[in-house]
Amino acid sequence: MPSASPAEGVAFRPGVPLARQRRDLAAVAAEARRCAGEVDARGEFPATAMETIRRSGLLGLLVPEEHGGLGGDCQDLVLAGRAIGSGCLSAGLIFTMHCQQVAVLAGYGSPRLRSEVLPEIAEGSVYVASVTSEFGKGGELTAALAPLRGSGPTVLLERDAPVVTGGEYADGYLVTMRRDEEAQPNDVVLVYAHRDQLDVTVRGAWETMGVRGTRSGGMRLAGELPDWQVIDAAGGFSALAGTTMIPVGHVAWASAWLGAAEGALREVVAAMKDPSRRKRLRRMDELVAERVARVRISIDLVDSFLRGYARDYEEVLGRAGRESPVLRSAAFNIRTNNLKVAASELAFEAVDELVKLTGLGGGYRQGGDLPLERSFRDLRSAALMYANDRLLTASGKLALFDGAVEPFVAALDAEEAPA
Amino acid sequence: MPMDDLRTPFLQTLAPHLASVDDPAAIPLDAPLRGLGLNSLRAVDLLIDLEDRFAIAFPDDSLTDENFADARSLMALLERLLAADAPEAASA
Repeated sequence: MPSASPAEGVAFRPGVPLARQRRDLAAVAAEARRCAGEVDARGEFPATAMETIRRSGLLGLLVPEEHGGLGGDCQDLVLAGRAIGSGCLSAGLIFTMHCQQVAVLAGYGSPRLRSEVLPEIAEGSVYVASVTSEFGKGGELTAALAPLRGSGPTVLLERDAPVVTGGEYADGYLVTMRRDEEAQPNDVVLVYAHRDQLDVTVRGAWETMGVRGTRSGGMRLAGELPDWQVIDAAGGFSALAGTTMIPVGHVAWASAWLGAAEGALREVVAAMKDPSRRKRLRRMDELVAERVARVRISIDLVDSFLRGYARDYEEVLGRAGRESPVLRSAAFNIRTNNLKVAASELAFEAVDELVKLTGLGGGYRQGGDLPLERSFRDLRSAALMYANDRLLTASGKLALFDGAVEPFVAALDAEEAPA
Repeated sequence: MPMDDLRTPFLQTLAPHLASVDDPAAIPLDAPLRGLGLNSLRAVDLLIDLEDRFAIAFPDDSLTDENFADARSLMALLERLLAADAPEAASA
């Protein structure tokens, strides 16, 4: 008889801080954890975890309450992302990137798009994947080559993408497109497309070292869409990307990665405490103790950076809005890049250290009682997702234009100070 | 394990962690452990040694002043944990 789901009946409540619904988050995480091994071994989409997330109402985490969602913000995304990421990083990334798309839809979608799509998301019937990668544009987020075609009430979308995280099973897509055939590659609009509005072709397998359950293979999308599904943000796509898509995206990834590292440490600690496994894993000499402490430092650093960033970002949004020049400052850009770089490196380092700690007979082993080698392979992708090299180069150059070397929120106070 | 059987191995494990005690049998059960030289770092070492010796796992919230008040309170905690493990051990 299959055992009951630990997340049976879990339903998150709007109006109650997510921090006070941690037990339910832990139940969803436990459900994700139950299937993570099989998801990885078979390279399968984490269907059970995603079904639990749908039923629990978490797909609507960032959907405003007026559209039936939980009305959460980036700080809630941190809580949810690290919980689910701790159980299954593939599910964590699919979920958090979905939330990133929701933040964009809720912040920039036309009234009709918001009122039609957001309630569907909140009720759990739509998870949205991000389609930003494209052959031949060199990995640049704020550029697109494939043009939208057609004019009048409908537009024609035809788009190839080499990597779409969670794309194979998504119910909707948020796609970057060149505005039209005459536009420059940096003149980008976003288009929301429901899966049943598109011909979806999966191209190329997703046979990868880790995050195998994300099923992020290449895709071809084609379809005709009403023009109100086009998101043409004031200030252009680069402003939308810089003030919402990238910040929320980096919070999304960092949360899931941090969760994976936390989950790994939790499993190692539990094994070291378990009387039946202890002899193999614990000779609590000073070297072992120091390694555990180092892992904890890596995790604590990411936790602190991530929660601080999410809090400061929400403070800017709350006090000055999305149009605030603070969100266009070099200091904000650098901090946003650094969150991604630091979280990806430190989360991986933490698990690498745990593999070292538990050795060939423990963490390095496949199919053993510790899932460290899976976490290790999963987290190896972190530095590659929007490659750290690119972000470091950008931040290093930007630093020359941020001579004050102050946290970005400091500028918020300066902005509000009386002249 | 009845309390009397527990006492000797417990005190043997405890003694090396008390700076001012040489003979396990001479540990006063009701004297404050802190006064016998048990600081917080040694308390963690002691828990780890007790876990290893008795094949148990102290829960995360074990490091309280109440549990570490004196040898008697710590032994009582150990006894409760062993009793909680006992049904499993009997069926194994």
